[in-house]
Amino acid sequence: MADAVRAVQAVRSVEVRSLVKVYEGHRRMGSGTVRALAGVDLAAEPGEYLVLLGPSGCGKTTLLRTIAGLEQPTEGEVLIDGQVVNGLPPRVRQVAMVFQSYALYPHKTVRANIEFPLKAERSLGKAARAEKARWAAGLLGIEPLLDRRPRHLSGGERQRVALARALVRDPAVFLLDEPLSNLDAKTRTAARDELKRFQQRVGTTTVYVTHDQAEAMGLGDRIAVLSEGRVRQVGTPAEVYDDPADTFVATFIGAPPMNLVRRDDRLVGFRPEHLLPVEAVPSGARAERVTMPLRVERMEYLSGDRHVYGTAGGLGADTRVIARLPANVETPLHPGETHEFAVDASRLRFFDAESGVRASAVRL
Amino acid sequence: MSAAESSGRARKVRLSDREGFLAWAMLLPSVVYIVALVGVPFLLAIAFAFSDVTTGDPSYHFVGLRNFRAIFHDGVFWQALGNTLLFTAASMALIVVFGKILANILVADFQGKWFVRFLVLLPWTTPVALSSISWLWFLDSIYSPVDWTLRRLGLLHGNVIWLGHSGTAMLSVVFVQAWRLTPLAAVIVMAGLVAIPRDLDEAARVDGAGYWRRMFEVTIPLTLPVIAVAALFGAIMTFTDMTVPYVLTRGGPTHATDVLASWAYFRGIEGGDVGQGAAIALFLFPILLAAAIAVLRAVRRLGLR
Repeated sequence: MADAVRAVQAVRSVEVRSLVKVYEGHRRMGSGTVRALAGVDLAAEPGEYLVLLGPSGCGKTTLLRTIAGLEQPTEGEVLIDGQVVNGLPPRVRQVAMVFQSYALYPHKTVRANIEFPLKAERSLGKAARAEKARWAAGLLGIEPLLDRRPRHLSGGERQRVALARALVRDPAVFLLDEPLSNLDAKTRTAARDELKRFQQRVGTTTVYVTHDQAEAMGLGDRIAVLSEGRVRQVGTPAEVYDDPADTFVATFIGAPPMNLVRRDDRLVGFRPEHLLPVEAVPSGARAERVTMPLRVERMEYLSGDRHVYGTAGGLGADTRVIARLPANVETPLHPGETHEFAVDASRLRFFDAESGVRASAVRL
Repeated sequence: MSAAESSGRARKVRLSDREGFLAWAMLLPSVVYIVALVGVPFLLAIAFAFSDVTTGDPSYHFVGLRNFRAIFHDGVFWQALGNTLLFTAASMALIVVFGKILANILVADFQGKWFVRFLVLLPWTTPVALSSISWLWFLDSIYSPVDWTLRRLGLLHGNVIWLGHSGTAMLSVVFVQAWRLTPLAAVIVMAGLVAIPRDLDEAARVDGAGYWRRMFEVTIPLTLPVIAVAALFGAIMTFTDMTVPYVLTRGGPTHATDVLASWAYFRGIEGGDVGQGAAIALFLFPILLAAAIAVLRAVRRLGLR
């Protein structure tokens, strides 16, 4: 059954073209209009796991809801399976959504919850519906819960029921709105792993919204970083991390964020893990390095790494930076001292100081 | 123990900090109120029901079940009981259906919403005696604008005389009662509708459910406890109420719209037989108690699911 599903879905995908969503402020409340989406172009390839990542209020949930048909775009087009679906209600769009709250029907059993989309579709008989619900429940390992009600389930179990309910529709796209945010930290890691394996097994195109970069990095085939209603960058986790398109992406992704040092009309960026004591950075004919004196101010010892907070001079304007030293770098460092640090030149990224976008490299 | 240890530093505990005292202080007014206005009259009614007290002779003599035997042998009592049940059931059905529809209108978002809300709540805020009098005009045998409109439209020849025939009189009384209590039911149901998480409706939309399926499979089951509460309130208010029949028909024609409350009033106050009036009124009590328990049980069962 899963193979057949996959074959059909090979032609499906989701796409948005210059999508704009403007919320008109309430006249009497005096609130202005809000541009939740300010021209978004984005496409998910068939079977792809696309993560929309951004801070709260960046428009990622609005984008997801617009794809689902719960919001109508002010301008632009939404395409599912290559068909424009603007103006069509959610039920004909062949999408399935998992809400942040899971939105299980509290008065229905797990079985009735999973069967509900099939009942609404009216394409299957009673026996076929029950069969399909059992198949979905089996895939997610929740068969023993079928006769329970949602209130008697744990957060992780509810999430699986919500996924099973989404699955039975054979949707063209899964839309997941922060499905892990209601779980405690311990369950979350396990649930993340489970979500990824689940999607790989069913192979359905998935659009996943989150503000958690660890989730985005771990789950996404590609990540679209959003801010203020615009897509700042789309790329694989490695691309957005190693080659951020602008200073927003550079500082939003990575913990601690990328260091940015002003030098004339450029911002010079480098990741904390690339800023190391000078003796730990190899130098040679092929590997060039940029050195700078670092006044150590404070140190943290986190999961085996040393996080060194200090002020870097020499490179450009004096700037507070963070260095992350792995356990195998054992250089003794003490607050108050100044030590020579270095970055491999190939690790430097340059941004325009005014606009924040990537710019050509300059010689240091 | 820790409280004792830190009491040296703690500020003095004031009277208003003591929960035991506060509980009593805050409960007392309502306890006094309930005892004085509900408890005492209730006990008085029980005492009167077993006595021969009349407005002419207020001296108390215990007469056992004589009053009950008398009212049970009176055909009007049974007619009034039937009328009460019909009146309550029919107006309840209308109130729940209209209340639900109105609640949907009240939660919807549209232009001029405040004005519609205002109109909807108007019947509830108008004193019932006043509004019943305007209904008296609406249903007047000669000057009724309803009849006039129907005549002008050519749907009616002559007059209906709404309050003059037993069938139309009951219909009118039921309709006015429903008109009166619908806003209350609508507001209660609206509170229930607003409490449903928006996600659920959206999930049902994405799951492919149309308007009616969402209504009957999601919204109504989730508001059922609240609808039951609205129905219970409405039923009790209707069952014990005599205002509308009293003002519109005075129980007529020939007891066709007499309900237990109005019959108890006519018997006990206007007729002067306080004992029989109390016995009639007391007959309502076990029925209401049973109804209240049944509905509250149903609500709890729904809540536990």
